[in-house]
Amino acid sequence: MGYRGNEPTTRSGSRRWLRLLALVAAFVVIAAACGDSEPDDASGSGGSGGNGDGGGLLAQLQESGSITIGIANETPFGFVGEDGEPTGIAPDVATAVLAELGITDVNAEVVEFGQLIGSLLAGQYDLIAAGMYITPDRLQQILFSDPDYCTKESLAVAEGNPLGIADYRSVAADPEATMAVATGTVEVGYAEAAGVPDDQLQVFADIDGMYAALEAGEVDAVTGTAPTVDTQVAARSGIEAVEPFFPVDAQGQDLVPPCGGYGFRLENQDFRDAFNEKLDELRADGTTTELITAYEGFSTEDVAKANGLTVDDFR
Amino acid sequence: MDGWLLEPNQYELLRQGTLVTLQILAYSFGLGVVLSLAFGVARLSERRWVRGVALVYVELARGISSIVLLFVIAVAVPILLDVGQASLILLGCVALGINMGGYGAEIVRGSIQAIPRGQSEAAIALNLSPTQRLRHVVLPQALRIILPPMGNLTIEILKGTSLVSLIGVTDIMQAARNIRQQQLFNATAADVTVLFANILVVYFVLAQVINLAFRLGERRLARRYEGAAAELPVAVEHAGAGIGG
Repeated sequence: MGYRGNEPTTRSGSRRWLRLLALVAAFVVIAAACGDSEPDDASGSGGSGGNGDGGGLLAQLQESGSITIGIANETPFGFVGEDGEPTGIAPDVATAVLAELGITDVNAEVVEFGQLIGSLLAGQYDLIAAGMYITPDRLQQILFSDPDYCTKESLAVAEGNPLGIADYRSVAADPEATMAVATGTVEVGYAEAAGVPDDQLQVFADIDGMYAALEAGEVDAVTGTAPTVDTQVAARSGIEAVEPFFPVDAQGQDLVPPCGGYGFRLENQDFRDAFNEKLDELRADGTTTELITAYEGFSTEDVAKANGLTVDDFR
Repeated sequence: MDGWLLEPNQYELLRQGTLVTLQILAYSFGLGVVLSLAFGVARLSERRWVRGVALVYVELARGISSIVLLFVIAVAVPILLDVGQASLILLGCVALGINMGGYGAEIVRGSIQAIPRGQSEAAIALNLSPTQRLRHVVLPQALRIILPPMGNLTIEILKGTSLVSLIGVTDIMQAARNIRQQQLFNATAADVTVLFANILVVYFVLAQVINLAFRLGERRLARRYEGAAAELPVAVEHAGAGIGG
């Protein structure tokens, strides 16, 4: 003998130990990856999607009375207010519509704009309320409600507009001019349709970064919806906004009007239909006009234009 | 000085964000250390397939950028497997922990290899099993070499936690962005420098705390090895006595 104690005595101890460690590690990874999905589903707070039983989502939401919505941290369309509650045009309208459906507890998840659809499909939340434009491409991936507002596009430029930029076509006409766009936004397509070459486009992941780049002189123009540009220009110094315009292609033909709606997973048709029905009622009785025009930069014409359109106009 | 401070309610938002950041750091650190040790030791296994598995893990974990790994685990996997998304904090920690484990495993492997062979040989002469050799002779000495780069890596992971703001977790970074939007909406305090200078201080302080913790750990270890003669654990002492007698 020669060994006493509570240690394993076999020579193959190291192998056993290694195997145990590897097993523990594998278990930790697997448990961590799968473990929490069930409680999350049960609470209905976020991960209720993606299970294929999309038909039950509306009932599930109405039963729990709570929903998680996805917003993109873009004033005034949607952001987290000082009280921690989702604020902005899209969350305001969505909250009003959801209240009609008996869903009163609205929580928000903030993700990057370009990540809104991916996270919706992953089940992080059940509704996109970010004033997202309805486009044919997006309609392939998600369902949209009818639009609740339409808007013109605008550009922010350095004070005095040294390059004389007026719209996308004037950016395309000046090979020296560079323009910032946010990834995944509808403006990327408008700029391309207007003939702006790729090397004049700088793609940013977030709204704030684009305007910081303009202030720093890294880009000559930043594009966005007129209200966003107005809000950003008002809060910053040294930049100004051009006259808002409707986007046209390189030949001057009108492009699909930019109008925003609410996004749903493809399998949640019943939820979308119920939401849309209530939204149309609120559009008709003027509630949405009231909610949306409360924010600066939105006119009754913007809402009236949307009220004359349904989601099928965007296919 | 006054101009460099934020509103009290904004500090409250930052405080909540900091707690989330610390939570993510703690979980990913825990997972990272377990993975580091497991795969670091496995890289030196006598069995070829164990070494192979560990090598594949290390190269994948180190080679994939953290943000890609984060999106794969948090967004792509739930969509592909058609399962609900687990808690985002958890998914973020798994991604960061796997990433840390890849780097950490190499630190552990290098540290074990840096221990003179004579230590192992002496342990063999004392009739210690391979497990005991690792636990009582090699790893304790390797720990002194492991700690400094591990502290480095932990600070790296602290800064890496800001990536989770991109998948929708409200950490310090996301709290700062939320505050920024409120500022823009209220058209107040448009100076973004003040906001991010505050964030910078928070990250700096956290990094110094980690730094301090590892320094203390290093000093304790140094005292154990360079001060008075080290006491061997009971089991090892008996093993030695057994050989002698």
